[in-house]
Amino acid sequence: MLKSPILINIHGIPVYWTMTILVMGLILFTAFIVGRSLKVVPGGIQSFFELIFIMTEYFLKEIIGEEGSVYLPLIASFAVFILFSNLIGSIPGFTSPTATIDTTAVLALIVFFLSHAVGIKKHRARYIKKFLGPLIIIAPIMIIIEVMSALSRPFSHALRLFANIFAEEFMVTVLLFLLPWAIPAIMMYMQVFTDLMQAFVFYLLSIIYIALSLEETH
Amino acid sequence: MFKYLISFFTFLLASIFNVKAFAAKAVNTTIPLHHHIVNNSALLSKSLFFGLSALGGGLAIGLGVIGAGVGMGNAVRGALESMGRNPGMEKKLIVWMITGMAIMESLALYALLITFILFYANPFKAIFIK
Repeated sequence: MLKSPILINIHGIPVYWTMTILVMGLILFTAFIVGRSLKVVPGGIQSFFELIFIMTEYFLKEIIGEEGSVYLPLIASFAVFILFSNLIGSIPGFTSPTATIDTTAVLALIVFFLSHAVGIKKHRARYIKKFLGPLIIIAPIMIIIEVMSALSRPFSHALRLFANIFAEEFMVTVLLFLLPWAIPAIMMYMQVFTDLMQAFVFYLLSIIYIALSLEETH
Repeated sequence: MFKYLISFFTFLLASIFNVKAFAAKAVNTTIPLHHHIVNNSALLSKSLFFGLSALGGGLAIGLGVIGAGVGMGNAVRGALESMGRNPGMEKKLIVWMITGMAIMESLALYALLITFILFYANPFKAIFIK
């Protein structure tokens, strides 16, 4: 398969491990630099982090409700990590860690287990009512459909992010082979837009999945 | 009408026999003569497998994009209609429209994934290449 050259490639370990560690180091470094000198009137990079914080707070309050503010650290760090790891693929010589199914599957499984654990903790035994459907007569059929849809959620959640990031990287590489001038640069500009969009979609869907298991059954 | 049919069928027959002739030529040049009959079926199954997986890959992305395109068109139409009725909601609607479109776009990308699997990481390739 076509692959763009990688700048940092330690022999023996997969390339996305290096990239994940690089992204984590970058986030820690940036957070340290920003957190050391906080200002009342935020500068460029501080306002970016504040934007993510305020946006997460808003969405959690809007979708989950008052009890949603507990999940702010997790969801906001999802947003930062996925955004940085998507965007690092645009730099030549690096590749996105989210372009492999392993990274996205781990993130999706965290959301899957967390949402069900939180739902069981809140509703106790009544949590099974979510899988029984509206009428008690059709419950034996509905439980199969509901369990299947619940199990396919982390699958599609992981595959969506992976397929988007992988496809756009592949498309840029293919275009570089076809037309080496100017046109791949336009596609790389589109890549930044897709990166932002997919990070937002993953982040929003993880909030929605938690909200779905927290809401009251009627 | 009949004339066209006749020419079409002659074209089809000629192409089939041409392919057979070329295949026989390839077999004759690459493999010694006494292996000819034994390896012909293996060659046929191999070429059938690769041709069909390429066809399946093309069909997967082609048919997958139809559904995603129709869905995205519907979504944009709905959003534009409600924007025309109520221009005050424009900002909120555009955000949700683009989010929904990104989710729909991923449906087409699942089809692209199937195409990639069929082309590059075919799970049944190990049976045919030994």
